[in-house]
Amino acid sequence: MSADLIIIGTAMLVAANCASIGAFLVLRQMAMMSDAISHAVLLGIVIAVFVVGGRETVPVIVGGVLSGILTVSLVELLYRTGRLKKDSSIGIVFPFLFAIGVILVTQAGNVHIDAQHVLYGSIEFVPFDTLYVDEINIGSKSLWVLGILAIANISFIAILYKELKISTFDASLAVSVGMMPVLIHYLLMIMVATTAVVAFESVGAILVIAFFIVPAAGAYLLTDRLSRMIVLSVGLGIISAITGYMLAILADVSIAGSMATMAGVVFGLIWVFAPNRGLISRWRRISKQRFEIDVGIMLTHVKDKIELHHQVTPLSISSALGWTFEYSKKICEFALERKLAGKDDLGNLSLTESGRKKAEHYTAN
Amino acid sequence: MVLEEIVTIFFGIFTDYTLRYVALGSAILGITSGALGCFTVLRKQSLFGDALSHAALPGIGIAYLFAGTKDSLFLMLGAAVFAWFGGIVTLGITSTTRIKQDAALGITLSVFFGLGIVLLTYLQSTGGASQGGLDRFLFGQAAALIETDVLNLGILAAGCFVVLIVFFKEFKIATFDSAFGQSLGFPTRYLSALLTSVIVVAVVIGLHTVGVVLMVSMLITPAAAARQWISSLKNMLILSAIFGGISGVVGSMISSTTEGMSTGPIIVITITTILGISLMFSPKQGYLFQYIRKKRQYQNNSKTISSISKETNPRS
Repeated sequence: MSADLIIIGTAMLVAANCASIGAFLVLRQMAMMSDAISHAVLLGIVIAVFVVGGRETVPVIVGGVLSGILTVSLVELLYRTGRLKKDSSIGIVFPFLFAIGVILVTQAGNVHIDAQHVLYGSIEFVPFDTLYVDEINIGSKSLWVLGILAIANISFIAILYKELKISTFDASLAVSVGMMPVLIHYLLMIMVATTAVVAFESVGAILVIAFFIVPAAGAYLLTDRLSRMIVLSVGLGIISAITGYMLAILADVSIAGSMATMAGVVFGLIWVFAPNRGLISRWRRISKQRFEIDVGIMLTHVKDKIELHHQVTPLSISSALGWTFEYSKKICEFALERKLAGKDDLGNLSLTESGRKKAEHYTAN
Repeated sequence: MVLEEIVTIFFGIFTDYTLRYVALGSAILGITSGALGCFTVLRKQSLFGDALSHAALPGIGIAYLFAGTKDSLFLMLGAAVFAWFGGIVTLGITSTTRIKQDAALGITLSVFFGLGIVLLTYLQSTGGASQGGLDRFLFGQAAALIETDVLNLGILAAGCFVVLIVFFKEFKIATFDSAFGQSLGFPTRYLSALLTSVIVVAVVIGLHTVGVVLMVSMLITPAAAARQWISSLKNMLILSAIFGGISGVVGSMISSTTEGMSTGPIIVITITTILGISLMFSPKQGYLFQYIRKKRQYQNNSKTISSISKETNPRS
């Protein structure tokens, strides 16, 4: 397999692993907890390397997961004392653990982790790391590890789908039907830590967060169904990984960094163009609502004036309501078109039966 | 032995030219972020500082790309613009979509950081060796501070404190009861924006000494430690600034003893230790005194119970 394919495959698997779990993190409002965990796994990784004396996969994962659990427990411990808010506790615990990790990395020469690569990984070197079974080369190590992780994540979500869903959307219901949401919470955190520590090796701490949160947040703007959100999230993650890789090759920049950037671009596009929830459709909806309200205001105004036997024209409306003449003409034309108002030969407005009803409806509310 | 070393390092501040600026720069950061961090903690925006500091990274790259100099003022300006922009993006996401604040912060910090890495590696691949040293903003390298840097940091910090003193009352109202402030006619929106701006300045100062990754700790942890001792805002600000300043000086001194050691992690560990001590030993709320108080209460209670039981049951 060529080096490019191995890098893209690794990136796609990282994206898929992170994005599927990330959907739950975004929904459970625990995005920043994943931030904390993905930083803190460094400490566990470094200690595991110290203890074992090499970067063996299994001890590194165990160390990372343990430090992830340590982070979650420390945050909860601080937060439970009632003297610190939850977000403050997160912001205190993870920089501390990360700082210890960074010092251990920089001070111990034999760890072979570069402090900067802690942050943005070294996916460029993934193809050189191959796995041997009985001295036979069976391919890229990262693809194997990430593939196994993907199976673990998929089975985790598939087996506990109902439990995850209910404890995410209605924790008290989950308690009342005996689903133990606390256990689910910790299981999810363990999966987050495992995913973070495996992904950490290739894309680094910050970009793990990008893949955890950004695709899932984009998917959240596209759908209301959990199952669809997970699938979309994985899809968006993979798109970001592929386009990010192409950008990195074109501009000769950090692969992981450009993947995070592309994840941001994809999210930005969704934010602007998403049907129903995007900025454009939101703006359209708001201006449509405003127009409808203005039609109501116009009708009420005309009704009041007619009751006082005043004459109303678009010009008098614009001066009375502070609208531009064009806008009041537009609204009057809309009302005429909808047969809410009528017009005599001199251009004076009157109300039809349905227009009067609508005006009364507005004043009643 | 150890004491002797500590004393030598300490007096190094007065004799060693470089160390003096390193310690001074870190102290300036600690004091500023300590004081301003109180507001982020009290406004329940602790992690906002995390997003702001990560968002500043591409600003450094772009400033270098355009200005072509490593003059700290330019870099800080770029960083400040991007930090601000990051803050606006975060607020934009939460106010126009159903995405909650935590995810919005995560989006901002990871995407901006990714963009920053892209820019830094782009500069590395095009600018040759001349760009070296920009990545010191990741973990901070106070040892690289020179006189003009420290002067710039000092001016910025002084500006922050002038704003803080002038608008103290307004910030206080905007923090604790912004609806009340609005009813009194304070422009709370503008005040929040101003407060965010001074926090951005503190973040930008911090890029030199602790770096983008650990900056959040410098905002939250001194404030959280000071909060354990004091409940009045003014005194909390002062104590938090002192804690921040101490950890800055101690951290930079320790890191100066070791070759190639980043300042940021050491400062963070120092300030977290101060927090730990505060959580344990603060007289009102500390674990230790709470434990003693509980024990005493328990003894008193058991005394009362035994005396009551003697009264009601004299034969036993």
